[in-house]
Amino acid sequence: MLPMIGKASTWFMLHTVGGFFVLAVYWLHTKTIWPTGMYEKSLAILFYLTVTSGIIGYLIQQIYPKLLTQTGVEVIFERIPLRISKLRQKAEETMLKCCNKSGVETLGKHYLDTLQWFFAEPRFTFQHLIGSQRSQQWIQHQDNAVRRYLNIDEQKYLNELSQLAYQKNIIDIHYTLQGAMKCWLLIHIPLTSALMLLSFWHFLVVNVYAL
Amino acid sequence: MTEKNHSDFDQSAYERPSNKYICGRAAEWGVPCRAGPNFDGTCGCVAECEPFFVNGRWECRRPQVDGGPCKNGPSPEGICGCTQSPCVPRRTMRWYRGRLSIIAAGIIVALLAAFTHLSNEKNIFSDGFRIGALDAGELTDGHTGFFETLECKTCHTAHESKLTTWLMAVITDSDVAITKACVNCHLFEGEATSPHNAVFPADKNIIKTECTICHNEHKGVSADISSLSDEQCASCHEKKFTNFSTGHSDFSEEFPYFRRTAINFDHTTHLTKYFQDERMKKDKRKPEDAPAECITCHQNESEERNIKPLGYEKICATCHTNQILKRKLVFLRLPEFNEPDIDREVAIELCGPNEDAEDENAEDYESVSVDEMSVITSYLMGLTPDDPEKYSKAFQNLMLGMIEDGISPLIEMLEENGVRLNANQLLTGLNPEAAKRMACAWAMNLEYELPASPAFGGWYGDLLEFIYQPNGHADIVIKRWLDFAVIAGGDNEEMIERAEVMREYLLSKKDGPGACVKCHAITRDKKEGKLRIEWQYHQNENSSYQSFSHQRHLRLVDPQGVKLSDPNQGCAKCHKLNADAAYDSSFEDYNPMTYSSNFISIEKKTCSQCHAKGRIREDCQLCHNYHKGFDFTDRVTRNKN
Repeated sequence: MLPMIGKASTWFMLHTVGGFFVLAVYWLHTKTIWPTGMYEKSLAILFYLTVTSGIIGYLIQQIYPKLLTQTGVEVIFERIPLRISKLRQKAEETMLKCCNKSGVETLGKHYLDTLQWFFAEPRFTFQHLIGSQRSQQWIQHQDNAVRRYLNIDEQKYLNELSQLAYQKNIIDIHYTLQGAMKCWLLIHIPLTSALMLLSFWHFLVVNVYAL
Repeated sequence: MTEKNHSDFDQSAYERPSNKYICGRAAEWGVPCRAGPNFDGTCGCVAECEPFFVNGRWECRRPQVDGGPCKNGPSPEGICGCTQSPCVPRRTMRWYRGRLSIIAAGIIVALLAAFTHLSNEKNIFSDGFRIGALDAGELTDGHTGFFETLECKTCHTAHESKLTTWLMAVITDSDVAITKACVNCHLFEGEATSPHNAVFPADKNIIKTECTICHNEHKGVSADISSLSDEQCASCHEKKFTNFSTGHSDFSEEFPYFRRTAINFDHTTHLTKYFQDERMKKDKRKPEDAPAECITCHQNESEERNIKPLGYEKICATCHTNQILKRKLVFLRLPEFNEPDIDREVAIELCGPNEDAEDENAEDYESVSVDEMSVITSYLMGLTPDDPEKYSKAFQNLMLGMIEDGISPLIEMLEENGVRLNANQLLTGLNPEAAKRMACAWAMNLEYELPASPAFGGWYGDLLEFIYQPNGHADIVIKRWLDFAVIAGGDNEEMIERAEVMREYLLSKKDGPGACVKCHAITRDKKEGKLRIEWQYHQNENSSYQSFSHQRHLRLVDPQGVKLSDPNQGCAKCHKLNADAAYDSSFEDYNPMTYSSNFISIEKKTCSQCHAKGRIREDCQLCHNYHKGFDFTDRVTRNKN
């Protein structure tokens, strides 16, 4: 944070208030919701898309940070691949240790059939976006499915694997929500860029033809 | 699970979120390289460290976070002993964001260029597309037809000009050019760029207006571009208010009766005196035949601001026609002569012998008339009416002329005296033979005996007078004579005095011919202007910025069974009779603005009872028009595109 220019949240609030103010100014200026004429319609479409993406982004920025806080974990977005790879590594080590000690490959086969897919990369993206608990149910289901075939020693390793899976699930939540908080700008900023350019054209045309 | 020491140099890698690349291994969810990609997009972690040459040997510099110095150590050539195959770094989200923004802007530029400059008739884009980048919307229905010939250039002079000219138009006043285009078709009574097309005192600081301040085109075929909002009005007016009922100033004391009516009709005397008179019972008429309601005399079916009276024949003729018929115009009157100057032989030759004529050689000549000339003849011939010495010869020559040529000498007399009206109109219907016979009788010093009474009026001679009797209302001959009377003048005092005497006679309310000016007002529109008689009903156009629809207001009360004669709900709700008004005195001078109406002025509260917030509209344009005398030029009416 650069103290001289204020907090990012302050700037974000100013941007949000400014955005709604511009919406009001737009309607006062055009005196209509839907204008006539090809380029003015294009301008209106771009404006409404920009505003809509801005509102969606505002909601994302308001809702998702709270959901991230509820996970009880802080993760830097850029380090998520590293965190996932470390968890995967630990999971594989646990699974191998279990196979070596018990001499049976029940847990190993279960890992290869189910959890390997889960630890490979972030999963259940859509479910995390909408706040669904589907991923946790899936982990629990995988745990229950194999536990009955394991002895007590093997169950200890299964417990470790499940803990790692739950940790991975939290990282997945961070990846999905933080990703959404960044991805909406992929729409909002290019639209704003186009809007500003077309607004400049509008300024030129109006001054040449009408003012 | 949270990395509490995630920024420590020996615990974590240094993240560079503003880099254009991310590690290819991280992108595929493998173990990311510690140093990350290079700025040029190549992998930065083929070697785990960059060995450092110190004290004659190469030392491993692998960071603590990766396990510190390695066992292998660097080679004698200084190459890291722990290498791996390179990854393929990927672009970051930030880079994609920037690139998408540039692409979006580029698409806009490309489309604008394609639609405005790059396309022409030979290119793939049609003309419609080309205009698309400049198209602000469809024109209103009324303007579409004038667009087809010159297209955009009809109003926008900068259109299709050179790029430099086009860009220069950004800093010039395009709205002035548009206003010029507007007045090619639209016509106003005053200056188009003057507020309200009005004329203001020279010392008043008035800002020029342009049409586009209020009217914005390209809002669609059915758009209403003529309506203004109250805010638009308030943006110019010094006194600003939010609504009529609470902010509008009180109406003036004369409102809305600023100008005298064209017809002198005293509502008070007619309603309270004449219509109550016993004479209304004559001719089988009953008191209830008198007008019972305002609409008995005023048509109300399709009227807006002015409620026209139904016209003379329907509402005045019953009582006033006889008065018109009785008022005759004496054009010529045989005056007294001291001695005959007329050549009797010539008169007898032209007229034939007359048994009743006196002997020519009689010693004592006694004029058959002891009267003066008529005031009209006196003015036209420029003679003193009561001095036989002066008029005798001239008048007898006129008689001889009439004997010889009928009415020709009369026309010549009118024209010689500078009658600006068509002399023929003044003498319409005059039979030359009748004029000749009368002149023959007068030449023989006899009274002219009318063969039969003139049942339908017109010109006729009777004894010593040549008379015109009007045949009813709006008689054209009487109207022209009265028009002649109001403009008659002279070059010297005598002539002016005679003109005044003639005017008094012709325009007399009591005795004047036709009794026209008893009802029709004589008006001088400007201070030094000429007089004119208001023959037609005068529309109240004095306050041209105001509008009012009687039709809409009457529609409110009539269908509900409320009689318009109802003193509380009908016409009298707004138009209350003022019995004390000196209405008749308004017609004593010729100034139409000197006016005491028969009705009490309408107050603002009369309107604001209904036109108030939450009730009926009270916006400015409901009662006020912006423009003065709106019309179209020949370009529109004669389709001169």
